[in-house]
Formats: sequence, C-alpha cells, structure tokens
Amino acid sequence: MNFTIGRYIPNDTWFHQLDPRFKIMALLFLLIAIFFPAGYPGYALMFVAVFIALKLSQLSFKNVLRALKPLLFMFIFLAVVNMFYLKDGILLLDLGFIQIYSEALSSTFYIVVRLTLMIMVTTILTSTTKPLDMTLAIEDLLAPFQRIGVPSHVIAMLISIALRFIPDLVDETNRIMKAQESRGVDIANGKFKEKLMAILALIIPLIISAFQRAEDLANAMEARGYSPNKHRTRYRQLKATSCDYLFITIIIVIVIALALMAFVL
Amino acid sequence: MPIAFRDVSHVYTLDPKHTRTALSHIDLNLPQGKMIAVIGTTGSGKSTLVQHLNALLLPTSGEVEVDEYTLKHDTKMRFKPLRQKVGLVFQFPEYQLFEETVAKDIAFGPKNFGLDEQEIDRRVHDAIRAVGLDDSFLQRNPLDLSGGQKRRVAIAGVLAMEPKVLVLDEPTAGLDPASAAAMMALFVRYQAQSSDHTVILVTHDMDNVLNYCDHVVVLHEGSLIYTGDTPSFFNSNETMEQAAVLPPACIVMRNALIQHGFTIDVDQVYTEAALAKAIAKEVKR
Repeated sequence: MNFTIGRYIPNDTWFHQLDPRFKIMALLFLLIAIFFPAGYPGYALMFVAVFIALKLSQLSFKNVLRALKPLLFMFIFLAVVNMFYLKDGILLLDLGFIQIYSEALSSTFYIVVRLTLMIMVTTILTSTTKPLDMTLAIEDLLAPFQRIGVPSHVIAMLISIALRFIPDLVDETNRIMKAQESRGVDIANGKFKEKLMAILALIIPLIISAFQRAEDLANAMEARGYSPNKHRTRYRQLKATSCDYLFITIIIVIVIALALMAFVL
Repeated sequence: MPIAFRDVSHVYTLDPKHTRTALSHIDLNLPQGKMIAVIGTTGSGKSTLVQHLNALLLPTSGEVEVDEYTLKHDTKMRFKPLRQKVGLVFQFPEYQLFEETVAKDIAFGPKNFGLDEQEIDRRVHDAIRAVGLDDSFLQRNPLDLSGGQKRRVAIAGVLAMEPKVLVLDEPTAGLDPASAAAMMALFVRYQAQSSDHTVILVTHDMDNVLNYCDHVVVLHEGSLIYTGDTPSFFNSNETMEQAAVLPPACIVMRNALIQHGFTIDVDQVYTEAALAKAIAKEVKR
C-alpha cells in the first residue's frame, strides 16, 4: 500500500527537528491563511513559502505531487460543475450547448490552488513529524482546554493507538484476503454479486479481529494499571528552542502579509 | 499430483530500496500421497514456500510446477482451478469465518468454485463430521463457538473443497494436547482417503513430524537444507542441528540406550511404540 499523505519520511533536517507543537500551530495558521482572499500575489507568496519548506525538509516534489493525484478526478468534476453553473464575467467560449465564462475558470482555479496548498502543507507536516511526536504535541496543545472539559490526554492516546494499529490492520487485511482467495474468492474477476461477497468476506473478519485486538489491548492496559484520569508524567518532553520561535515568527509574518493583501490593499 | 520447485527464489520488496530474500534457489520435488512436514525456524521461509503452492505468491525467479500448471513470475491466468486442487489453511484460520451460520461458512469455498447445491450440501455434511463436530453445529453462528470449534469449522471449510493437496500452516498451534492429537488424526485420515491426497504440514512440533509424517522438508534462512524421509532426518544429528531442531524425547532416549549398549535398529525404530517393543526385546534377551 502506498500512502503519501500521513507517512513519516525519516530524515534529520532542520524541519524534522522543529518542535512538533510549533509545526502544528504553523499548520493551523497557514490553513486559515489559505482561505484569505489574497488574490494571485497572495497565492504566489504561499507557493514560494511552501517550496522553501519543501527544500528545507528535503522532500521530493514528486512525492508531494503524488499525494495530489487522487484529487485529480475531483478537480475535473469541479471544473465541469462550475462551467455549468457560473455564468459571471466575460464570455470566453461559446460551444453552443455550453458557454464558458471567465468566472467559472477563475473560481475553479482558486479551489484547485487552495486544495493543493492545503495538501502540500499538511504533507510537509506529516512527512517530517513522527506520529508519536505528533500525538505528544496534540496533547500539549489541547492541555489548556482541559479546564473546559476537553480530555486532552484521552484524545492523544486515542490518536496514538489508532496510528499504532494501522500497519497491523494492513497486515491483517492481507492475511484475510489470502485466506479467502484460497477459498476461491476472486476479487479481480467475477460478477458484481461475487465482488460484493468478496468484500463482505474480507470486511467482516477484519472488523471482528479489530474488536478483538481492541479488547485485548484494553485489558493489557488495565492490567498494568492504566487510568486516563490520573496525572501521568512522561519520558519524552518537548522543548522549544530559538529555532522554533524563529520558525513560528516567519509563519506569522507570512500570515499577516496575506491578511494585509486580502483585507487592506 | 506432482509438485516441483525449480530454482525458485522469492524476494519481498518492502520499498524500492529494501528487499528481503525469503526463498533462495529452492529445488524440490514433493512426493505424492504422503504426509509431508515443512519445518524450520521462524523466518526460514516456510510460509512463503507453501503460499507458492496455490499461487498466492508467484516466484520472483524460477518456476513452480503444480499438477498441470507451471507458475512463473509473470504467469497470468485464473488461479481458481488450481486453488480448488490445493487447499491452504492459514495459521489461526478461525479469523476467516464470516458467514452467519457454520453451514454457510463451510459452503463458501465450494460455492465459489461453482458446485451445485446437492454436491455442496453433501460436502458440508461430510466436512463437519470429518472435523469431529456433528450436524447440530451447522445452524449455529460460527462466532458463538469456542476457539477450538472455530478452528475446526475453518478447516472444514477447506476440506469441503476436497483438495488433492491439503496445506496447513501450524494447524495445532494453541490447541490443547487432546484436540491437537485429534486434529492430526484427522489429517492422517484425509491423506489416507485416496492415494493422490497429499497433506503438507508446516509445523514446529517435532512430535507431530515424528509420529505422523512420512517426509520432511527443512528450510533454513530461505534455503533448502534437507528433503527426505522422516527416519533418516531424525537419524542425522547434523541435519537436526543445522535446522535448530531439538530431537523428540523418544529419539533422545533411543540414542542414549544405544550408547549404553542396547542393540536397536535406528532405521526401524523411531516411534514410541516401536521403541517400547525394542526395549522389551532387549530386556528379555
């Protein structure tokens, strides 16, 4: 299986060493900034920033583009829908059965650019941050909300357990698939009804075993005295360095610049 | 049904940069109509080897011949007919159950191979009895059964395909001794049903190998280090050592007795019953 989004790529760049809390905050700021109507210069600025980040984290541009591939269909679909419904701006092309206006093109372009940017910044975060660090950071960032009843530790634990089980479930899926293939299931060929049956033969055992694993894990945790309500210390402490403050300052400057472009100029 | 491996290697590609050789240059002819044990330490390539038998895996290089099929790295065909002839039971097969009744689950394989209702019905009844459960189980939900019963139902599901070659990966792992013995007896019975029934067993249990198998195949770090009959395997300390196998208690005792002056024919005596007889003969003498 090949996930590009969400896969950590081990390396030791400046970007990998940044405090995950600052990276997550930066991601949040940038995701908001992407929706500022800052026009083409704004997006150009964002793209430049993203390219610099890519270079700094030594990620191959090809890899990031691959993450966008699944969205190609959506982009085309959006473009088609916009062509039919947006009738503002200048008439660019009249094909008789459909008229294409400039607004349809530019609004599609905006959506494509926004989605592309969102996926790119998210990919940079996930490929340079270990999943475990990410959950630690989420726990820390949510800690202030504990007073209003947000169970930050529980959320972080849920996320880290979910991440930890992904490779197991992939293995399990392969195993069950092979077992059912041995019993004559043919997923590639066969009629629709047979394919549906094949999927059931895969999904049901997978769900059963996932529940079984969850129960085993819960028991193992309880047996070792785990309680989410007790205060827990931890071995790995996150420490911010001057690099992290520099990084977040740069991000904030970019966001302010975008806000100025969008709302003042 | 002839089975042959010719210079078979299998390399897993973990990602473009990392590969792992699970099998390297295996040349192997398996005898027909026998109980065959495949042994070796964890990670020696046993599971990879048996998955080539029904084309779940194709060799990276070399070729596997099973019945009339020749499997190479680029073989493209419908594997269904082959899979009907070679039934494979994975480790802990109880996890593959998914139908709402035991009868439906056992019928799943035969149905996939397109058999008619009557034939399926006969096979379901035969298979449930073969694994030592009775017809009252057929209408129960497989998920309500005990672990051992689930495993039997899962094996019945493969038996119902009536494969010529039955391959089992660690079928007795985690069972109590009595259930394990009953299960081994079931495989021996299946093999004996017809002269072209072959049973291939992946196992760590040397007592199972000694008591039930005619032929032994030993893998070590992806290479074949022994293929031959069971007595000669247990008579070669060197091979056993290479395979990291501790000889079964009965063999240890026999060898100790010989060392202390007993006359025992090592080619004839390797089971507990035979050893007991040999000792009695020596003592009376």
